[in-house]
Amino acid sequence: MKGKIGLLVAIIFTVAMPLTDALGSEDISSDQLARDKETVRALLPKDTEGVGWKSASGPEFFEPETLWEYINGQAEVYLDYGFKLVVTADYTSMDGSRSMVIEIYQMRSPNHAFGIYAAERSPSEDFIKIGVQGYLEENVLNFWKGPYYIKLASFQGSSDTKEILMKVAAVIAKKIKGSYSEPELFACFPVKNRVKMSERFIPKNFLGQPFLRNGYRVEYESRASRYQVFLVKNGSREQAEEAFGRYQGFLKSQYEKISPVRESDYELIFTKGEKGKAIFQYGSFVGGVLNSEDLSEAERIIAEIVHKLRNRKK
Amino acid sequence: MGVEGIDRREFIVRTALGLITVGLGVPPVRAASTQLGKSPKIVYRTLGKTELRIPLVSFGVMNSDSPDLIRKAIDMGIKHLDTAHVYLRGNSEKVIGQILEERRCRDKVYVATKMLFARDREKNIFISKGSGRYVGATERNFNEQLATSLKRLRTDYIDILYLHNCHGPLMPNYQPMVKAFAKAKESGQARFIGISTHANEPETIRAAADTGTWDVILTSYNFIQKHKEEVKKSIQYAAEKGLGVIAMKTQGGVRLSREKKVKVNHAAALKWVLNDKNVCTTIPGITTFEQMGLDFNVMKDLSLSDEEKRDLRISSMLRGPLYCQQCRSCIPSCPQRVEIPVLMRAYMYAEGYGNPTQAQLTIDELPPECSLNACRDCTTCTASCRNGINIRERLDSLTAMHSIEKRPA
Repeated sequence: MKGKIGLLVAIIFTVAMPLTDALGSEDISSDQLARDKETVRALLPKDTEGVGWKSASGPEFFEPETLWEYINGQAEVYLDYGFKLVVTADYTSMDGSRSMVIEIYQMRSPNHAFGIYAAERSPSEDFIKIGVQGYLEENVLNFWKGPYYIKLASFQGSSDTKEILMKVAAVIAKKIKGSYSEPELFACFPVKNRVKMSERFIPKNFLGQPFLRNGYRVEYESRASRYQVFLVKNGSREQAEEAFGRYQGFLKSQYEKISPVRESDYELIFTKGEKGKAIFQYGSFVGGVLNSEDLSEAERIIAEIVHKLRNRKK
Repeated sequence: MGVEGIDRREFIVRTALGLITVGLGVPPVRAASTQLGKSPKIVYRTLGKTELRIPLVSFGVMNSDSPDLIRKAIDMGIKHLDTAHVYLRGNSEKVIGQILEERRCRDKVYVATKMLFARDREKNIFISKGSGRYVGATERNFNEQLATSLKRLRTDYIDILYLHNCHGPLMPNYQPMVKAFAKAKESGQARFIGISTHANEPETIRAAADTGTWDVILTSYNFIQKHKEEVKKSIQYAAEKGLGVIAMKTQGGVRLSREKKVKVNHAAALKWVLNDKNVCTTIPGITTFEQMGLDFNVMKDLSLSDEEKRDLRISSMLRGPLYCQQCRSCIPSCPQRVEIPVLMRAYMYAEGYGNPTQAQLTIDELPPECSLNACRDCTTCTASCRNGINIRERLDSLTAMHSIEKRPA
């Protein structure tokens, strides 16, 4: 009898939970959401702040559940990068002849804001010092600062469009308090052969693996060959060991031959597939060199990274 | 994360569903082995009058964070890569271009991309003036976008070039775009041309087929759509006219997985779409090797098992009657042009999530003239929903709630 009651309770619990999960839970509370909305709304330029343009419509907010209404299929990528909220508003010039749209995306953290910003930038952009970093095209100015990714666009071009975009961006950037810079782990990557503006932060499915999260990746170029260096920061040494093991398992499933090496305080493996890979695990980090044509150089790069990780401020 | 690589939510949902539907048998958490090391069985269909032979499963390259996924897909025999000019501001096109060049496989892969232009969001028509984030729908802007995409893709032709985001029957008929696309086809910069749609699909597909211009339709199509039968019929209509049809949003789109937090049986959802023989291929966005294996393995056998049918049924059920699909087709039926979709969202917060504060915040975002105030002055509600939502009842409920919330203390 006791067993049957227990079973019944288990069934009720398991049936009720998903419905609660599906209907009742939000990632953030409504109070927090209301506060976030006020915070991002306050970042929009006011008509009195001297940009010379006035608010025309909005602000309009989109949350994770509704982002697809605004940017459609691209919403998936933004959500993967830790999207929390976007406010968008239209502005017009005083004579009403030109318009501009401002979008302020609030992401989960400054790293996530950098992540989506970097995913959309290109090394050939005209980079400017606004916020932490931004770039300016004929009709577009995008930049990031703190947990915010800001996008400005004005498609009725005139000779002063860039000037207006800069002015508006400066007003927004000034309102975001605090001092920010690119994720500090990039300091552990080698400087030599680094491709300018190729730093990336990828929060999910790094290297196509769901167990690799919060990955940092930089492109390198040497003698016309391109390779990538990466680091994944795990929550603990144990998690790093597990991720390292699972990635080796994946490589084996791809028929890659693995050569393990034990260094003083880190594990290292090499593969010789189409192009070589050198992967290591040190403390809570998993990292490596991908698409390497020179595995001894890859080993040297890893030694340099581990050295920097050892000396890194906690 | 927690149990065997699945997250807690998925585990609970699957476990509960298993208990509900088959007694106490817990369904396996992995529907199929990934078998990525082996080549999957590749099954082809012909893309209408283009006569392109394409595997049933293609690759939607939106998030291009892992180029090795694309390399692997090509190695496994996938022939069709779908992207868009705007995805990651062109970086998705660039990654494809790099891989095509590095593998020297341009002639073995069909590349599709999409050109996006400004539209009037209310009227669902293209407009020639730049608006919001998009350039105006003019031939000049089209030529600029196409030239940029060709450069990024490191090619001198696109296999399928789409007019992106056609949300109504007027959009595939917008003459400046029809002419610009036809010219691109004549010049050889586009082998075939098409339209993409994920709103008002049935009307848009029929209109596109009737123009006689377009070769391919890329449409949202999934088991969860309330109007899936209408979409199916319009797909058949287009196919009978010789157009090739490609399906996207086969998993129910971001709405189901993100809004409802329900994990869809990915393989079953793909099979559901591919059981419609008028669909040539699908373009799931693939972000992990594991998902790639599951998707490609679908080609081995398209028949839906009882378990897969059950999963789809349950996912449909969980979508439930509370949820407005935000198609906006109700707005013209309201003489006050009230923002019904936003109010339906507010209703979902109030009734679905039990969160009146969030509902109130959502209502407060609307200008008074298109919010509940307009309803108060209206004696006869004529607003209608094509998916059967009782709009009037919900607006009455919101009005009552709104009055209470706004009453002075």
